[in-house]
Amino acid sequence: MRFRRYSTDAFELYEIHPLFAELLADLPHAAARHNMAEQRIYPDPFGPEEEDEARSDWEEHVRPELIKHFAASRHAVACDLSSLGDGRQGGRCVIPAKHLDAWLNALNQARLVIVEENEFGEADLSAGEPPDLETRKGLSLLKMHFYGHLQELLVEVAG
Amino acid sequence: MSQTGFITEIETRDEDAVSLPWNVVVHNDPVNLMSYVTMVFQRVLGFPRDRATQHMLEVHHKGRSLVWSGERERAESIVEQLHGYLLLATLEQSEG
Repeated sequence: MRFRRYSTDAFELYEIHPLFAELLADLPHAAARHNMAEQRIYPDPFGPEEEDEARSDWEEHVRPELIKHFAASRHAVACDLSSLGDGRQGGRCVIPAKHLDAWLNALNQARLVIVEENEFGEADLSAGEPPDLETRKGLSLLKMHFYGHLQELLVEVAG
Repeated sequence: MSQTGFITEIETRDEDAVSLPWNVVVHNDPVNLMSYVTMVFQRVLGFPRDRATQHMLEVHHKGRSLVWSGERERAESIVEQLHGYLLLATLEQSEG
């Protein structure tokens, strides 16, 4: 897979290997599995001493906004990925500058979900060994690293 | 009971508790990238890059960093924005 940045600040991924095309195609779906990472994606902002009223206000007013914001990010990413194809001929995907934040957000959602689903800890994430792609866990770890690498590149562009 | 029939409940709070500032604290997690956290601090809190990096490193090494302190409404707004970026942030009242 190669990366190219246009003068418009858009970002293109091209010559995408079929495996990575598959991982990219799964990004909006992985990011949407919030039920597996509910507490991490919507953390309680208050300590135990805080009154319930503040907490229920947060649930009523802030949480719906976060849900909308996260869904909008996934939607923008899914739109950009519609041109991806199956990657057999070297897929490509253009990320417009105005979608960079949505990508950063969706990548983070997906990474948080994957960590919770697989119960990955710091040791798993920082292991130097290449993941065993024969196992579901290994494939998930590859996905984590791939999404992380992409996020790193996009932070450079967006930052 | 007043003449209008409304019941008035007066809540009394210690003056110090009302005036104490609220802290926005960001907590470590193994997922968020260091470069991403630095970028978010720059954007949400308006920190210059050096200061954003210092706070990011504090989160990374000490597990938490106090990134903002002040009135409650603004603190809640900052926490909301940080949650929008999927950072683990909480609101705590200063102990005085």
